[in-house]
Amino acid sequence: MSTRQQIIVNALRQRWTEVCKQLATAADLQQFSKWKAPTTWFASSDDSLTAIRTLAADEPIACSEAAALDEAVFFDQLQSFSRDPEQRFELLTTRYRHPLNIAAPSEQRIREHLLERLMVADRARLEQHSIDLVNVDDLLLRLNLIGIYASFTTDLRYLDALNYYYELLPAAWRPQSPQNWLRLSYLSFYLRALATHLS
Amino acid sequence: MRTGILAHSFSSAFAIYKAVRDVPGQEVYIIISPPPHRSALTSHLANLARFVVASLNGLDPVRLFAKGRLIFLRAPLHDPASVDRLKKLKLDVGLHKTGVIYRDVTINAFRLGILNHHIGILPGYRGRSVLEWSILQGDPVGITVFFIDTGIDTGARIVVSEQVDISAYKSVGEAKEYLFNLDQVFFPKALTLLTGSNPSFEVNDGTGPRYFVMSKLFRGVVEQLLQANEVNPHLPQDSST
Repeated sequence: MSTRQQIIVNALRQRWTEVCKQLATAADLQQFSKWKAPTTWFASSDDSLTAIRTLAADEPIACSEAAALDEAVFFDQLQSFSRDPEQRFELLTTRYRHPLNIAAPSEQRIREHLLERLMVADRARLEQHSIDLVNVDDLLLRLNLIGIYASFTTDLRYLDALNYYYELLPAAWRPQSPQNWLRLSYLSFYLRALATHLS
Repeated sequence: MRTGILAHSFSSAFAIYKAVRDVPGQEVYIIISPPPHRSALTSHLANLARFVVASLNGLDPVRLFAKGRLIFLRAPLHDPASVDRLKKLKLDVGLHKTGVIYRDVTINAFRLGILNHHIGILPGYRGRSVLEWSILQGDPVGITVFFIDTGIDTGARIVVSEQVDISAYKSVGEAKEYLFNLDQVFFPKALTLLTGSNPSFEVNDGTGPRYFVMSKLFRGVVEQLLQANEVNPHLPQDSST
């Protein structure tokens, strides 16, 4: 292993230990079952939030290929709801009923859009104002989707968005929301992404 | 060629002025605009103080002012009054030293456009923290001077793009300061090329990923890579910068 790789691996290992502690889990780097990325699109029989819970618990989820959904219309809708977190949450949970579809080849523009929103507008709002000003469900859902994709890609920007939010969101933060479990699922996807990059 | 340095602060503009004034064929203007979220009056008073201090060290600032080449705008650069003023100056090129993203009306007030000194190699490294990302990923570090558009480092015309050796610097802060200060080397280079008879451009196809502010975790990695001299593996041996 080169010096560069060693330095990166050491940092990721240290973060891995910290996240394990926060999740109060003694995880093993090899413990995660292997996810399959959709070639085009996965059909889904669950709703998005149930499927996210299943994936976060590392339980199996049915993956049968189906025809891809239209991307262009969805992308326009997503952009038009950039200031409407409730609508955006609705849009994203409807499209990603099978959350692994975030890794589908057709979703490249959408992933970039979600990453950009997290790292520019949301980050600025959180750093300049308060976490109470953001829609928690919307923020956490997007972190979950980015977290899922971070396990499929070697593009370190996605892993680093998770690094960044891990450092930004207080460890003791307990969101007041019916979907506050999305915080734990995002952390478990973060752990999985770290494992992917470490192994 | 008529060149306008666009800045919020007189001192940062004047440093560029001193670097480009002797490029043959240049008629250089300094255009100071108030920064966002700060009143024009406060900004101008601060710049007046900087102007006086600079004048005590030499007569250049006074000469600039007397020739009408030091201009204080009362409104932001996209304001119609500011755009009008810029158009009347009939400038060929702007040099970016402000902290704002320009709108089309401002860019179009310059015959050729506004040049940006970017501390990364385009099209591969767009956006924020590109020095850190280049080091993290083991890619060459460098400078790109290009004509901006309204996107994030997507302007299509690259005037100068060069790798830079930063192996002498052992922290991100020092390396960044060094690269940012190289605008005093790269802006004159770009203006010299543009003043030539047939300037050509490399193409920035804008396809490179946009980078964002880096986490503390990866920034720590980059600091260690700098200390271990794990940078610029592809720098050519004959690099002069």
